[in-house]
Amino acid sequence: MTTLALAPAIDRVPRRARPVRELLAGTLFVVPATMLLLAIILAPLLCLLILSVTDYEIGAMQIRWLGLANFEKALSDPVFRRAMGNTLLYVALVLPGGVFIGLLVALLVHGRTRSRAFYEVAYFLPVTATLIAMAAVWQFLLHPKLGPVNGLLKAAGFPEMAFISEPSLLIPTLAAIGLWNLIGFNMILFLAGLTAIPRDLYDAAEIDGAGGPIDRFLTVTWPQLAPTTMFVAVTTSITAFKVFDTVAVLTRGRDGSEVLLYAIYLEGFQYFKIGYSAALTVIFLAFMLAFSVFQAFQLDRKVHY
Amino acid sequence: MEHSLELERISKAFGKTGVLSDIDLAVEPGEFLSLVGPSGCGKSTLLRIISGLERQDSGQVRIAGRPVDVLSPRARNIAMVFQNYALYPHMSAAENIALPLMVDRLSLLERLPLIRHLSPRRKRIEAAISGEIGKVAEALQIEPLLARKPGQLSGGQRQRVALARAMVRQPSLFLMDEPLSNLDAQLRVHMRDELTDLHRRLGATFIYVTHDQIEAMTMSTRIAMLDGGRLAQIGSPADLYERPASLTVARFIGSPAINILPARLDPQGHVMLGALPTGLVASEGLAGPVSLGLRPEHIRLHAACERAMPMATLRRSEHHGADRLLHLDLTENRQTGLIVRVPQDETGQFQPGETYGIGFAPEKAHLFGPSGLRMATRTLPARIGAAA
Repeated sequence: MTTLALAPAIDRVPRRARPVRELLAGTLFVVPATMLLLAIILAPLLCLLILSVTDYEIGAMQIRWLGLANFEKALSDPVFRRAMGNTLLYVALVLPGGVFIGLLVALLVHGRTRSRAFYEVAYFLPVTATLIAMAAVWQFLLHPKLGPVNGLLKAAGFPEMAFISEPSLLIPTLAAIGLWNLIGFNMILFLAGLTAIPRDLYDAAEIDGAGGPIDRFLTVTWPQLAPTTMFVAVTTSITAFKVFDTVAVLTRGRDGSEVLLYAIYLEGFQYFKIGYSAALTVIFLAFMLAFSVFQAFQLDRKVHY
Repeated sequence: MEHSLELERISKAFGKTGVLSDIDLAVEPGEFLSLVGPSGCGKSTLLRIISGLERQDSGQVRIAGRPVDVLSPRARNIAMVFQNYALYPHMSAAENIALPLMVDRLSLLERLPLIRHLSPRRKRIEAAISGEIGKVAEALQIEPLLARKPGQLSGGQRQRVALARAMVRQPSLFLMDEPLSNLDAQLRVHMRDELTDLHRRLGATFIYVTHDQIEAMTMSTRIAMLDGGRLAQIGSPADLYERPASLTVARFIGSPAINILPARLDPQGHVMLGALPTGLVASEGLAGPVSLGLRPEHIRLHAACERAMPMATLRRSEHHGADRLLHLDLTENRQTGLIVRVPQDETGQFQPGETYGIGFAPEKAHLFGPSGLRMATRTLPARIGAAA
């Protein structure tokens, strides 16, 4: 009986003291990371949110609370709506192109043995090249009179195309340059995915009779690459959504070729309307968040093992 | 009846590295043939050549009397089970098992995503296939697992699904590449049993690659041992154990491993252990160093030695259930360890640290020449120095 009575009493002291101390220690451990997160992400984000509901302009002496007026203005602003439409069109062109051409290139490069290293470097070069600098090269290549692209078109009997001046061609042209810049990176991601596929699976497919190129791709390669593909698709959409440099250098938003980031840049840094520009940034971030959340959930679901 | 599988002078090299040279092999229908050997001996490559996954540099493979060298793996009517099972992770067990039949019976168009639903006969064929899957699943007792993905199955269950995928096409030849080596010890023993049973029920020919001589010994009707890309010996498990053709085979087969003692042939052909005659006479061969192989169960230890005998000191004694393994060091040659298997009830008399005389029956000993090949022997009627 005595042991029974004593046991809880002995137990009670540490059991109460422990959680408090553990809580304290745990909190202390979390503090540095939390501070860092607050300082570099959450605090600026909060500033942004606050600015987005004001009419702040650089140099202005006073700030007025506007509520959601900035957002209402954005939705009815023809420039912003055009920028939005252009960006979505750009993503719609770059996303499938970036994923499928990247996959195709990766499959072809993966099949090489000795020349593989060369092709990897060749396709990856545009990724390392600065797009701003390369834009000058593109400007020359696509020049209506002097550019070799139009030279080729003419030689093949097609009419010459004004890639960087004809308004309806602007976004597709920018998308093509974006693709050129992006494919090497996607190829590397796909190559990593391809290398991770166990050889056994291909052997099994061959034994089972699914050894032809299409069967191999459908039974082994494509399903095995599903997680990689999802990742590539999401990173490609985010990159495409952030298109800015080619627009800034090649078109400067003329002829209705503004994109989201360029519109934000104009409002904030050319017209100094910080409040309005902050509201546009919030909209932009909302899209980014949507992509990221989608990715997080999809990647979790797609895991086979 | 035709051989189920024939290999004729198969050679293979990867770059400049020779992997297989001049392998000749004939397998009877219904045999369970194990390909064994240390890692890197070429046994997996040989299996891949039989399957068609790899092409030999020279020689011919015939399956059921028909040369198959130009045929794809699928056209060879074989099935293969892989070490890592190689199940398609995105497909359920049932879909995995169904795949070989789907490929056989549906055209490529009927298997393509989206378009496949347009085929009118697809439904009917799929129903037939699922009936066949049911039968195979029943035979392997995996019916409750059919809807699961490989990731949700244990190693043993995956193994059964892989077997089912191999069985469903009713191939004449089953190729197995170390199928049990990823399982834990207990499950491995159990699956050994099941595989033997399956082999008996199916009556098909099994070619089974393993580096585990116990698997080969327990399951096979015949064992082919490869060493350095050559066929070292082929025969029943008893043949390989009782008459190993070379030192390599003798060392590889049997657990604990055979004892190899350095010995010498005198000019008359008598096999001498140190200065002591063993009662064993080589039928031919020159005087010089030879190796004497003694299985652990063929050695008798003598506490009181009346005659001149090789001596050894007991270092350690291991409990192995019914038996005990005694580890000894030869007095004359301390580098040579000796393992003796003794029934449990006879071990009481042996104490670590004590020295005992080594005796053996000469007809149980194996003699290997300097090249490592087995030498023919006879025994002397009068056994000198080797009390049995």
